[in-house]
Amino acid sequence: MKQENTLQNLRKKQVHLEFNGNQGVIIEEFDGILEYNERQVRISCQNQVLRFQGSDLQLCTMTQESMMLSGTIKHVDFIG
Amino acid sequence: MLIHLLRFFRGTLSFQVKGKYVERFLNLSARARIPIWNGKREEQSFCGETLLSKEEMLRKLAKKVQLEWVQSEFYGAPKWKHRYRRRIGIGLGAVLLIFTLLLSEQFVWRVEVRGNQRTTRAEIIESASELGLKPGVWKRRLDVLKIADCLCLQYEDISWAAVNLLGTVAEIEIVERVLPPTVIDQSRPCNVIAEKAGTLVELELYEGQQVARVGDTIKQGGLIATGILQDKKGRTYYTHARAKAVIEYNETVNVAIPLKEQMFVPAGVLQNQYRCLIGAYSLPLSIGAVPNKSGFPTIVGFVEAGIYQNEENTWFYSVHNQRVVVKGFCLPLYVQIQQYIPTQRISVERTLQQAKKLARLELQTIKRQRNNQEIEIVNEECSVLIQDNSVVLSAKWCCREEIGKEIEIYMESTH
Repeated sequence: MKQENTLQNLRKKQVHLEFNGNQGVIIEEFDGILEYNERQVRISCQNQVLRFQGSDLQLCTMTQESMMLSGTIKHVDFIG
Repeated sequence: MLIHLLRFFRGTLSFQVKGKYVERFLNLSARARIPIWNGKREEQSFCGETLLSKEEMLRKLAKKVQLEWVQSEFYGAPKWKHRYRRRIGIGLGAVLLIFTLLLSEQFVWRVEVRGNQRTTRAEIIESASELGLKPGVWKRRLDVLKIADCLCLQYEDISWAAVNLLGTVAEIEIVERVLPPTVIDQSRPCNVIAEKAGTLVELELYEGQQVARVGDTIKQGGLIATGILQDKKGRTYYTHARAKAVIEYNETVNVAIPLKEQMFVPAGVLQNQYRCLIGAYSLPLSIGAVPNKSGFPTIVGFVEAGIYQNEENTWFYSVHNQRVVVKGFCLPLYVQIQQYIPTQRISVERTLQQAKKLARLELQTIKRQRNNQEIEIVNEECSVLIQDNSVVLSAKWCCREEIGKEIEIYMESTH
């Protein structure tokens, strides 16, 4: 039963994050950007909001599928 | 790297937008499948880059979310195309360059030799050139199998050859013949004879019957041990005689160094002549004649250095060929630098000490050669003489050498 729940969770479309230390992150399966400035970036995902805080945050690449943020990331929060 | 190249060819638009709803603008761009990179937020503005072809769409989106399109500029291949649209010559030149590059790939521009030890590189390259394989020939005209076969036939030392065409390089790969040592069948009857004359100082007989004794003087070809033996009943039988025989002999080596000698020394300014070598053709790059135009050899090949002399003057000359390399890419061109120095004949006088020193050095060289031939110099006596205005260093050596040689006894068949 527990195994089935885990599989179902995996099948759900969930945000995928890939960090390069604290100097960059690749975000996949996101809905859109809610806020974007040099100190804070808020990204809307399925049922939650992802918040990155740091300094010199820049949008390296952005396409429909993924985005890449660079800069010094200090905090990551999952809100909601 | 690849992505940068793709962006360059498709053209990149650098833009800046100003306003409140940057986030909305970015979300709409992503949904419209407009890629944005190198984005940077500054207060109320946003700078970024996108593909040149998406400019129209991006401007519409900016207008939709009430953003002000501040500035934009584009770069990459489309910009070049736009800038040089009226300069047909550049386009033609680029096409011509590509065509020339593609065409030049069809020719051999360099001949390399691999695997040679006894046969020199210059010999093989010269032979290959006679067979048609030289820089500047069309690759399709070459019959590489035939050239390889001809090289094998031409040189006894080469047992296998192949010509590999690797791009514009023709690589001649050779394998030299390993000659087997003369093997005498151990079952056949043999004598041991002396290869050189001298006094026998050491003899180790392994098989056969001893003929010479330690202390005997033996001639060249003299019998040391025989393979023809007799049993107790007087019947003759044969065996393969084997022995190690060491002899001592005296050798006198004279080295003469003249006290006065005529030599050529540089006397004048170095002159350089430049030529461009394209395959088998040579184009002069320098204006001006070679020291003496008439009769001076035209150097086109790969000569390194030498002396040229005619009735009037003598020159030292050296030739260097430099490959033209542009950013690591070897072009099928050589720049040949020919250097000439006029010389004059002078008389050099040596002191006795200098002449002796030179003679000793030469004697050392001869000694090393003997050692390489496995000749041991046991004793040495040197004396210096002055003969015909030369210092003659005379060395009397007592040499020790193994000289036993097995020689087959040929017998007529009784059958």
